[in-house]
Amino acid sequence: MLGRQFSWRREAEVLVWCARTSMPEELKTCIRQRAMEPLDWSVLLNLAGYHGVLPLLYRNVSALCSNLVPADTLARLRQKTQAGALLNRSLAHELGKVCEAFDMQGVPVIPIKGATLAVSAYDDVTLRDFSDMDLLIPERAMGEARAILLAQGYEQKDPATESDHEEGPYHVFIKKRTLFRVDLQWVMAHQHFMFHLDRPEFWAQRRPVILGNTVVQGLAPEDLLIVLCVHGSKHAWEQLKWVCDVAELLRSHPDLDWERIFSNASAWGCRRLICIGLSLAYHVLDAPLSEGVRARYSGDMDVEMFSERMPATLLADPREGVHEEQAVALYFALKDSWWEQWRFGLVLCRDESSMVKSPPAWLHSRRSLTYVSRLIRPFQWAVRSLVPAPIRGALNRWVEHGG
Amino acid sequence: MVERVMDESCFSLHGTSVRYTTGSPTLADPVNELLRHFRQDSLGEAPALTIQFYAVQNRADVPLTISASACRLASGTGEAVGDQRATGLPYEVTQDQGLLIADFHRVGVLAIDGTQGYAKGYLINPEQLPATLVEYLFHLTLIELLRRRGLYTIHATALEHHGRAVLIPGNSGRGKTTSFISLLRSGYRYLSDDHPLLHDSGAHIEVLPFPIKINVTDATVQFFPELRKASERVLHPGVYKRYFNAEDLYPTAVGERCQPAIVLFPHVVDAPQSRLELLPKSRALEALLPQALLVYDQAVARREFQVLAKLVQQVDCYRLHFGQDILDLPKLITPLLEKGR
Repeated sequence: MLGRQFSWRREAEVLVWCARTSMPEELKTCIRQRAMEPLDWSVLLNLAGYHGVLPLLYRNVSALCSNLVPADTLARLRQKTQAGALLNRSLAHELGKVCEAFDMQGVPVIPIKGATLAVSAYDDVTLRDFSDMDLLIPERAMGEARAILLAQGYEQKDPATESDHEEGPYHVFIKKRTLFRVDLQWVMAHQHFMFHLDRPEFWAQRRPVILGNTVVQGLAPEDLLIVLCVHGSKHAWEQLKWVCDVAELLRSHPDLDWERIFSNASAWGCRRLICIGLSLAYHVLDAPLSEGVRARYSGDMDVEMFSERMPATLLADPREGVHEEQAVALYFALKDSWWEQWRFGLVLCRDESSMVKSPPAWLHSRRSLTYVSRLIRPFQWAVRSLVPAPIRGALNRWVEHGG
Repeated sequence: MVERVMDESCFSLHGTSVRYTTGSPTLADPVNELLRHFRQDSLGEAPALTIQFYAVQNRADVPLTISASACRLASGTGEAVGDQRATGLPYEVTQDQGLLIADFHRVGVLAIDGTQGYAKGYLINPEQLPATLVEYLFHLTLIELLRRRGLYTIHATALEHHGRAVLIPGNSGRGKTTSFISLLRSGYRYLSDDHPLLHDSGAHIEVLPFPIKINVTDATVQFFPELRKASERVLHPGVYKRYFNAEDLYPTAVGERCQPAIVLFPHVVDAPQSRLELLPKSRALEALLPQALLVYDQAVARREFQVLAKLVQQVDCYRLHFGQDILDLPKLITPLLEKGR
């Protein structure tokens, strides 16, 4: 338990202590002691539900202090955990069937997150909250993948009906009259965020994951770590379960190939996103990280600072936190190089992003960004007025994709 | 008068979504308890199955009229649509166009549209009915709907051990729950105390968990020291039997869906040691069929029969002559499961 600049709210602290599969005796004592003190258990339950860590909370609370928890709270927690466990198993079983169907048709597929993550990182499909099947497929195989899912009884969902649909490709399929939902992906996208998943390295390094009686091909742990860190950063680590994923993967895979991880992360422009994921797992959940690995980011003041501010909704003063709606500012701050950062800054200025107009207080470069925004405004006006649209399009593409 | 439907509960039974609505807490609580392992916050779009239960004050308030062309399928007392002798309800089952109507006279009426996945229940003064009866009527409705979606049940207890299931069918008083608890306490994982679900996956039959509370008689309690010592917080008082949740007493979890390996037909014998007698498949099927709930649709009945026949082909079936060595039952059963792995 490391000292913190911004403290957790009281119930959140218990949640953070419990959101892990193994813990030292000292922490067990802390949990028991805290359970004896006045605690708003309904707040704790709501937080656990929001942060997707109910199964871990139930597992640890029932083992350590069930006699200290109000009976109705424990019953509610148990009911939700048990229902989640059966749903997870159903989803894992369905995932096995879907992957088998892809295999039969010779279409490559990698389940990311969900059941395979639960097994790979937590060694237990019931301990990780999930509700759908995210499948990585090659972009070129979309037509075949769609046909396979339709043959399995799935229907494609119209993106127009999805209110919280993020940017990027949307290929969601739902099995009629069930809770089974498949999301086909080859890119991870959000507002001003794009990370390609359809990478030769991912396909080449696939590893078998055992789901009950089925074996599916999952990401290698090194690649999974990168995907988890990029995904968590995409959402500004809004939910504790994303930090848990990284921490549990580190616990369950002590021999990761760090050279490969950092080399790939640098090549793919997400090195600092990996660093923030590792730093959070270490600071928040005491994940095992060698000094050598920590040394790779220990001089990065932004990484250290951000790992104190997320997940924001667990902080005693959430105003100190980095919230998901501020994620664009986080992407800006965590670009791997000065050049990439300011190229991204230009895109934000050009698009008149709200982040440029009212940058969060924690963003060091906020004044510079506002200044650049004002500086380029006359140029923007001139370009809009004088430069023909096709040339403007080419310029935009140059700014966005690095010239 | 039928009261307004208000409360809604959502469940996902191994992928099949179920929406249950009722306006009466007396009708909501037993169902939520029965399906607590399957409860979900929401279901998204149209559920596979919709069940509505209404509280009515009189039989005349049930808004169902049976047409002249309706066909009476069965009537009697007791084993209406299942084998729960304890209910002892007079009943009458009628097929009226697409509806299966189970009339329990002074208790209420169930109207089940299996094809549409829709059912309504009208219970007369439910606040005067025991919760177990509400639970029973709901379960009956649910099973009738599920069997049309390829999920069947038999009256049996079921446990999982290293990915293989043991099924113990039988009526009350045959040692079914006692043998179940004996295996459970030795580390077997529980699938169901009364109604495991069966599914034909094509290659084989699978047993799926349907975890519910475990009902025990006073006689059963006496066999197990931990039950004898259990407080009322764990071993709850009930109407005919007491009940407990497996996880309150044993370090166990709900088992995985798996292939059944053994079916045991227990009967209690006055002998110091239990023993097993291998049953021919035909006799096993004969013994198993009465444990399936009654089916009124021919096509469904045929499919259900095929599932049971396939199950018997797939497993070893034994008559368990259940002696006084109750706590040692795992020593007899586990080697059989290990041998087949």
